[in-house]
Amino acid sequence: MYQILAYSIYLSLSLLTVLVVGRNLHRNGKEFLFGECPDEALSNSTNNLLYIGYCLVNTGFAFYFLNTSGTIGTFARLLEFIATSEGIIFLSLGALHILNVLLAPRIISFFLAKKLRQPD
Amino acid sequence: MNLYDYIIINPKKTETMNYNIAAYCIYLPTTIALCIWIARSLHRNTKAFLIERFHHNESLATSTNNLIQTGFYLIALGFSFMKMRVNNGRYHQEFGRYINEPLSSAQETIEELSLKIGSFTLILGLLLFLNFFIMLMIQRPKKQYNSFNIHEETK
Repeated sequence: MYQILAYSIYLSLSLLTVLVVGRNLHRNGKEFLFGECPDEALSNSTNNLLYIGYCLVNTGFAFYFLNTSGTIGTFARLLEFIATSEGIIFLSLGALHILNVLLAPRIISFFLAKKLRQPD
Repeated sequence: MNLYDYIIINPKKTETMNYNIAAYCIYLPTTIALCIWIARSLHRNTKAFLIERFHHNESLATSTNNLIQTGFYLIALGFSFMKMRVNNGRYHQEFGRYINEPLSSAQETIEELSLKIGSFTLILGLLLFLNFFIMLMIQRPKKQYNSFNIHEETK
């Protein structure tokens, strides 16, 4: 009984965090990455593609790393399971997010500079 | 084996309020409140710095500030959740696995809690400096390489 309860709480919580954080990034990342791009449709569609990729990667992560080892017998064990699994999800999301914030502008600059040097 | 045996002979399997759950109920609100407090004060105070850094572009500074705050929340809450499990060095076997003994007294609970909350506060201090470094390292796509200029060059 506790096992199913733990799994359902873990999955719903992690999917909720992935979606909430993703919406936040979708809103704020547009200004951050494509603030000076005058082509509104291009920047919108690129932003939406980034959002879809983010959602796919992180929901996949949440489902794939469901910890099935061990039996959950007590309420304290249930709390420990949920907290540890959610902690891993939060930490990996945060690490990915910080890497993205630091690297994405540089990557965009790099590719656009390359394209500037050799226009097709 | 009736219910009486189950409760008396194997007390580890009983469902009672024990010190572990009390410790978690104190630890989680404390750390989450600490997280929210630090994140909000960072959000208030880094905005002026970012506005200066991005040449008085208010909207860009606001969105960057929100992105940094999200990262701080994720890392800090992740550490707080991951470090929650009681780890007092005494183990017993349960279903073929080694599992920590539950806390047995109020004294042990207070010791464990102070260790946990203290280490979490130290981690929060480190994260604050990480936040400063992110703020210093952050940049945006360079102006001369923006798509606006590409359109101009290719046309």
